Amino acid sequence: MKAKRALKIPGGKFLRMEMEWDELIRSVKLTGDFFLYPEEGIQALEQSLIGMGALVREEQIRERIDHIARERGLQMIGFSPEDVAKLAVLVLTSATQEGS
Amino acid sequence: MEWRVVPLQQMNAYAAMALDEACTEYVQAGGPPTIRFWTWEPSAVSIGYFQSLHDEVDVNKCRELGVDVVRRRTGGGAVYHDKMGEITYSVICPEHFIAKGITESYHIICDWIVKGLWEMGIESEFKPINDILAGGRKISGNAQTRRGGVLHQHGTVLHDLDVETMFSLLKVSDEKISDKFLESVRERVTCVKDFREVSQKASYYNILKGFTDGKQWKFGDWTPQERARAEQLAKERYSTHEWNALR
Repeated sequence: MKAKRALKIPGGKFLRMEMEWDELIRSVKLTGDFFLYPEEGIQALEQSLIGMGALVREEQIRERIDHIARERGLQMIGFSPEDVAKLAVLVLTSATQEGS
Repeated sequence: MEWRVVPLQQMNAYAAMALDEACTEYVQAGGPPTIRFWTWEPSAVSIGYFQSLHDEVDVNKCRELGVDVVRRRTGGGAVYHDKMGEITYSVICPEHFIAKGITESYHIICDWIVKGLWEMGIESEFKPINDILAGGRKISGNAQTRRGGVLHQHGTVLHDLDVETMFSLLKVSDEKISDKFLESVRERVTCVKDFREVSQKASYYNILKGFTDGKQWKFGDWTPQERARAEQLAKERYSTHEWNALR
């Protein structure tokens, strides 16, 4: 399955996520008007979700993002691991609901 | 150390982004902290490093109007840079010159813009993360990155505003583009000319004063090495489809 959803963080930035998955998450693309230092860290952030189960809970994604950010020394400005997790679950569940 | 200030230049989007990067490399190698100003010729749209080109920009419309499109190395949002409508700056210096903290350093540099606007009798304030508001409306957007111990912040001060052209180039869903939508943008965004009937040059001189007051500085120019490197970067990165459609 494949889906794309957006999230406007109140008082923050705009995130868009596109994912492909079957039982497992196969690809992730996170775009938007946020800031991340260093910028190249976006790949590590996206890749950290690949291979997680498609039924993963929001909390598990948040922990994964948190972990990779700490490990790589990434600074997220205008968005947080919680926001990424919330959006990822939104993507995974909205497509299921729509049966796409 | 004395700041090098490269006075207002006019250039295309690819050259502008390439000079920022060439200068960053020069400062990494021990070159002087630099403040520069430019206007865009032709007008251009820049998108943030993490944005999707085709989600944000009507590339065909840009081509039709002769507007360049470039991906920045900095995060943040898509911006329409009208050639008559703004003053754009970069600050490129060792990190320790300003402040380690990201928000703190935004605040310090944005205060130079606030001071420049104040010189024109316009009261404004820094609004975290990266904006400046005048009368509660956005008048300046800014974006920062750090590379190898060097801080690079660039941003724009809106001198004039052409909301209609802006939103014919930046993608907003068709149902949102209406007179009401354009009015609502006008309620959220402002420009120097809303407050003072001054020329683009006059805006520049006042902004320049805000940036340089209280500093040791002198006007300078790019080194031949920076120019050569910028030419290479413009050709090999910033003007390429591969870079601009990266995401």
